[in-house]
Amino acid sequence: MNEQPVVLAVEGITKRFGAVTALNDVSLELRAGEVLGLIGDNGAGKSTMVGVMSGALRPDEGTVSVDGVERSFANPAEARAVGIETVFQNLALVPTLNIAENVFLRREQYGPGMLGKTFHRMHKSAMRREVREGFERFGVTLPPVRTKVSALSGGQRQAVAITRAVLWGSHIVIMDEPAAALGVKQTELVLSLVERLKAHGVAIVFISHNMQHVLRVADRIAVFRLGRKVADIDVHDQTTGAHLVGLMTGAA
Amino acid sequence: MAQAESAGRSWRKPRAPREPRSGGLRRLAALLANYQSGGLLIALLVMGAIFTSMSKNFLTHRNLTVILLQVSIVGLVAIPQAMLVLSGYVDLSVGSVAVLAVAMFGQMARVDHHSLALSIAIALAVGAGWGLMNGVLISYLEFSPIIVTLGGFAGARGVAETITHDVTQFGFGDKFAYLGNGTILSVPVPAVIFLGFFVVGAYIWYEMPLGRHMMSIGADKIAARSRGVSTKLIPCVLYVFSGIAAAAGGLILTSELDGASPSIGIGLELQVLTAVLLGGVAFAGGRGSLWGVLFGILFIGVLNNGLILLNIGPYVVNLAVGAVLVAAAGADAFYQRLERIPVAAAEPVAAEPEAST
Amino acid sequence: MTDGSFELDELVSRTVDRRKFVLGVAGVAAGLALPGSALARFSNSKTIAFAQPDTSAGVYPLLLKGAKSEAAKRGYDLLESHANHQLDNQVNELNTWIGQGIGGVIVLPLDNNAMLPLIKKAHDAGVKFLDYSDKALPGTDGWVIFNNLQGAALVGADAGRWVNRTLGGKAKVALLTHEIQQTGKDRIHGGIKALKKVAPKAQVVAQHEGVLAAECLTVTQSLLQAHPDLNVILCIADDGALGAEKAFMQTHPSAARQRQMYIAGWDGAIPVMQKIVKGGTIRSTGALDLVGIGAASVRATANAIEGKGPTRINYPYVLVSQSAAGKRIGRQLIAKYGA
Repeated sequence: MNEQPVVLAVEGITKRFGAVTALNDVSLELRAGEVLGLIGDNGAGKSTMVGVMSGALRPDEGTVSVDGVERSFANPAEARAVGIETVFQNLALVPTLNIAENVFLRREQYGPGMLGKTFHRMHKSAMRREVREGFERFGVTLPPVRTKVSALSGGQRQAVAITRAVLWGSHIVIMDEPAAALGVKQTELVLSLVERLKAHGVAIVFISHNMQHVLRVADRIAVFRLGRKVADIDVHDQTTGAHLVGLMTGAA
Repeated sequence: MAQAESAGRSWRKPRAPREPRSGGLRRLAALLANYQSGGLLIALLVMGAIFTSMSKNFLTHRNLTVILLQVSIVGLVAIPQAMLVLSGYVDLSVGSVAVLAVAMFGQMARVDHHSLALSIAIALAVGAGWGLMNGVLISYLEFSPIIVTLGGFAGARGVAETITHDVTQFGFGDKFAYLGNGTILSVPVPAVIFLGFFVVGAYIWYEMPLGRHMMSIGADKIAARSRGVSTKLIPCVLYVFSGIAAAAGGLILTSELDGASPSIGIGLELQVLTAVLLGGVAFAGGRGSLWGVLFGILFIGVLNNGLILLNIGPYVVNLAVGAVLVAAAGADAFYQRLERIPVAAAEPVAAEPEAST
Repeated sequence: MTDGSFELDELVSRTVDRRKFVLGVAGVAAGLALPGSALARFSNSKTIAFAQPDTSAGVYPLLLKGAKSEAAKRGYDLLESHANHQLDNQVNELNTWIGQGIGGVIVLPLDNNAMLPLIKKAHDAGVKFLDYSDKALPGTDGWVIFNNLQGAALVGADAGRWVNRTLGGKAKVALLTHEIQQTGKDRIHGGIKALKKVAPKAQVVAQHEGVLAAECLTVTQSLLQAHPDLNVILCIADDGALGAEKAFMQTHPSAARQRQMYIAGWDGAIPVMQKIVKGGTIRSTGALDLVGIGAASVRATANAIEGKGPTRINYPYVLVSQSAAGKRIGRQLIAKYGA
């Protein structure tokens, strides 16, 4: 099994919205190079869990630790600062900027000399090169980095958003329905990227409604039902979609 | 794609993602799409050639200097306006802010007999102040840009009328006349100011992160904010600069006329917006080129000048500008289609139904 | 903080709402023209509306000056126009005033035909309706008329005499006009007709649109590239003449060249008259005694309300030019306007 260090640990998380308890004493662990599938019906608490891990929500009880250090996030930027990046369904890509510009948005590199230092002149070719090399490293085949995002397919956009997260040093990536609304081949592009990131030691939380996708990429699967984690199982040959659905619905 | 199926995932083995090699048409389309403003430049050159062939007075050093002088004020105000439109905002109050600043200047310099420098500084500060008000209301309190600046369009002129009681102040002296009528190395001072601002504007637009940030705000404000772009501060600052540019434009015109006429700035907002949109900046924000705006400014300037040289009436000028605007809108739609061609072809995976985003 | 901005938000949005911004600037101007307090404040029959719609024109302050002093002398309250040179606004504000039942209104109509139903309405409401224009409208209670063609002839003839005297009868003439305005047509076409009558060999080489100083500045800049040897520029209004003169001076003309340029306008704006008297290339203007017209407007209206004294006043243009007599008139008008 995975002997890598635990990079993300949430313990005893409870989150209430008024009278509704969205999460009830939930704990999760994630190791480097591991993909944790998160499944459950609508309202099971997946989205709330994503919110807590990504810094968008503060838990009422419980702790979040990153690399063994307990953290409290006021906003997603703080989570990002310690290496947790969440790729939401809206992707946060700017359609009229090209791939390289999107990857470096708000993290632009300045050129050498006085122009760069004092007058913030960007080093555009260096940024493009870095993006190109980054895609190469993770084996992502994308159109030229000067292509506008508006011209990319849904899967390509996912790939850009995910790769951006990793390029920026995030070692924990949370993906919220990354393959929703994608065609078969687009989905393949995303899933295989997940697999390669895993090989690079990135820890991934993978949320999906699609059992096939989860079974394909996940090492472990946490099943949520009514705000509780009802199962945390290693994926092995015998694990089937039917079994998981049973756990989700409470029939198993 | 059969090949992809049979080879499993091998087609995705690391491969240097390079520019697509094949397809002359694709490359031509990419070239065209990257140089949208080039179309306007070509139109500008063609028009210049026509005027040159029809009037011996067109392509002369003196006439080109006159054109540069004529476009300077609109051009100056158009630079921050282009940035605002790029960011998804608009400033319709520029003409009225110009006359307000000029009214303040006239009042201070001629009625209250303050120094020229102080009067100019206060006039610019009035422009900045009005811009700041626009910026705070629109950017931070999220009022509609069109309504707020349309209010300014009426309101700022109203304040100006209250200050001046519609009396034209004139006779500001030779020192001030230099601003509008002087030359530096035989280039008119207003043109030097405009070109200076253009260089700074182009640097911001293309070389600094700020340019991309403006574009990201105009294209998708939520995405921009989630990446940490200052989606409130940037538009607010742009409104301040728009106000300052309007005030500066008004002062230059006052200097040219040697009179703080209440008629200053009438129609300025439309001229500026026409140049910006003609230059290919999308009214919805998120797309556009400052070079295109420069060509748009020059295009209108050359058209107006050339038709007067040929003694063709003003209705034709209006008609021509209108037609060119519509043509620009058509060209823009065409270019947006072009932009999709090279990528669709370069994609390693067969065409898929696009994910709705 | 949050509360404060909320209040501000509320306040401004309410203001926006009241001002009916959806109707655009027209709405704003119309809104301003309906001060509710006016009803309570004025004893209506002692109120006169001075409906000169173009309040941003250079002539307005002088007209208003005359109107105000006459109104004060006769004991009337004076209402100003906020029509901003737009016909629909003008019709709106006239309707409002008639509805308030003020004593009388004197109007510079933006469209003569649009006035006819209003005249009837005013009569029904007992409001005196006068027009102040270049011709009398049917059915009004009086008028103050200035005849643009008469003013056009004064300037045109002076320009013709100058062409004959300075250039031996030959001259290149440019016209800066505003053809959709009757005033523009009368002044410019009347002017050139009079010029040609005196100097038949003068030749019109260009005609362009331009009223405001800034417009005429750029048009003349281009014009002078096409016709560097231009001699006469007739501008529909003095504001434009100032712009034309600046464009000419930007070419750094020699003293000899300056002697061959004649720029003229109409209205009798102060800076233009000062330049004429001082002796520059702006050489004449067809001046209306604006203070006098303003005063006459109120006088005729007050006479109509009170039922005594003349209600039909013809106010002629006078020529301010570089002749001794022309300069004398100019100095008189400047003095009258000045204090």
